Amino acid sequence: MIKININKYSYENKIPVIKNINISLKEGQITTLIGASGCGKSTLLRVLMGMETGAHGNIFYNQNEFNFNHWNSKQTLFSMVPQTPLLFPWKNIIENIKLAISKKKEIQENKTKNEIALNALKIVQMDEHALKFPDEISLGMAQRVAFARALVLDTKAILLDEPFASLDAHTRRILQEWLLLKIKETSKYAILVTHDVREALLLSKEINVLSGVPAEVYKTYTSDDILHENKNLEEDILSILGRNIN
Amino acid sequence: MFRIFKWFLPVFFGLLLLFILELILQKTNVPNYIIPLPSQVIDVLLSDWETILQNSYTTLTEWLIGIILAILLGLFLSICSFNSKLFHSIISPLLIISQSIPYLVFTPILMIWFGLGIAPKVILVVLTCSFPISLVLQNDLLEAKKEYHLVVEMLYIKPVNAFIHIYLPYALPGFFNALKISVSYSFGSAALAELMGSESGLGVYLLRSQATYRTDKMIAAVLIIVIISITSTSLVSLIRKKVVFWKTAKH
Repeated sequence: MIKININKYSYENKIPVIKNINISLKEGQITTLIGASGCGKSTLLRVLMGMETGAHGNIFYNQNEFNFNHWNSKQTLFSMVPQTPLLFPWKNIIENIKLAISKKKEIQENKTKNEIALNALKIVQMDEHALKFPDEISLGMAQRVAFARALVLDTKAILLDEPFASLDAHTRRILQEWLLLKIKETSKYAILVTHDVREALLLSKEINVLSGVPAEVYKTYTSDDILHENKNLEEDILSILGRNIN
Repeated sequence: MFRIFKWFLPVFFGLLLLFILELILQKTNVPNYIIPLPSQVIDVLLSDWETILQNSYTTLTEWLIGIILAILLGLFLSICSFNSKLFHSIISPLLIISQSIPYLVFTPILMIWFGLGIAPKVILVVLTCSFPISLVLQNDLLEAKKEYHLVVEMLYIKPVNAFIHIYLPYALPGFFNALKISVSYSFGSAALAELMGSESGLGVYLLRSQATYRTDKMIAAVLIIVIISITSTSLVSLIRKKVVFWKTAKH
């Protein structure tokens, strides 16, 4: 289990953007953060990735405590799948993956970068397309490659920043189920950031509803809540999100 | 097949115009030193090709050395300004202003400093080419950083690798566009600089022909300059196509 507590985070000591975040992640399961657009969800992910410094709080993983003040353990804990795949058009799929593989990993696993990359592509069922270029594959496929790219970083958890937002409804549905399966298969921890209530209900075992600026966990729904009262929950979450708009 | 056909009509049209011109000039009494017959120009190209080639060689050398130095200088400036915000804030406005400077007017001064040899022409080519190249290159590198720095941070890619594998390729299309324009423009500049004083070169050939009222020779020289300019831009386009092989994904 990974427990994340962020007491406060603000840009250059001004008004806090993030407050009182307490979320827990379980192996092979997805924890969702849901909130209206612009409520600071992406900033939260950037804090976890170590791209923003100066947050107050800590992370517990296997009895180890990581403090945000000394945030050097990022490489082993979190990797990220962005909203758009952001593949490099001048590199084919396998080269795109290889760029994320470090020398250290190559030596540790005693495999070539090629083998490691191909392995990751096999997990996301894209190994047949390894030599294609990004403009030759669909957006759904590209997003799977982006997922593979996060996998080769060997982190405990994967942060998914609205990974399905730009997909069409049909592809989104297929990829959502696919993602659920892959997270289970690879025993990763995962945080999904979304503003789609149905997506949250479909994929996650824990839903944290965020209120607006500063981003703060307003209500947490556990797996029991999600299993038992599906219908009411949707209304519930929507009303909370709607309340923030007004 | 289609490509050949695409070029057939314009070329045919051009040749037809020349043929008509030849006929008209033969019938009328326009003196040769004002408008020479197209056939006379061809005759010059066939009989005087050795001198023309020697002079072209000089101009080509000046120009090629200049282009290579300009690319290196442009690359150097943009890498510096990519890595240092201070350097960028100093150099960027200067580069933009430098776009409005007609470098050709510096030639007489350059000649006093560097003599009649190829040096002042090389420097002129470097001046005309390196600034537009570095301006475009540094803008594109910074744009690349804006677009891809998230991935670079996300994947923990080292800065050197990020530059070589991500930022530089992103900037290549713009670099080739800048090169294409400067390449054709700078060859003319080099030839014009030779007009102001030089030991050899196409400009010198042009000047000598003018002094003896050999308009046919002048037109031949101009023709060579035009052909080299066109060839160089097409060559850059061709290299661009080979190097920048990728298409930006539609998504």
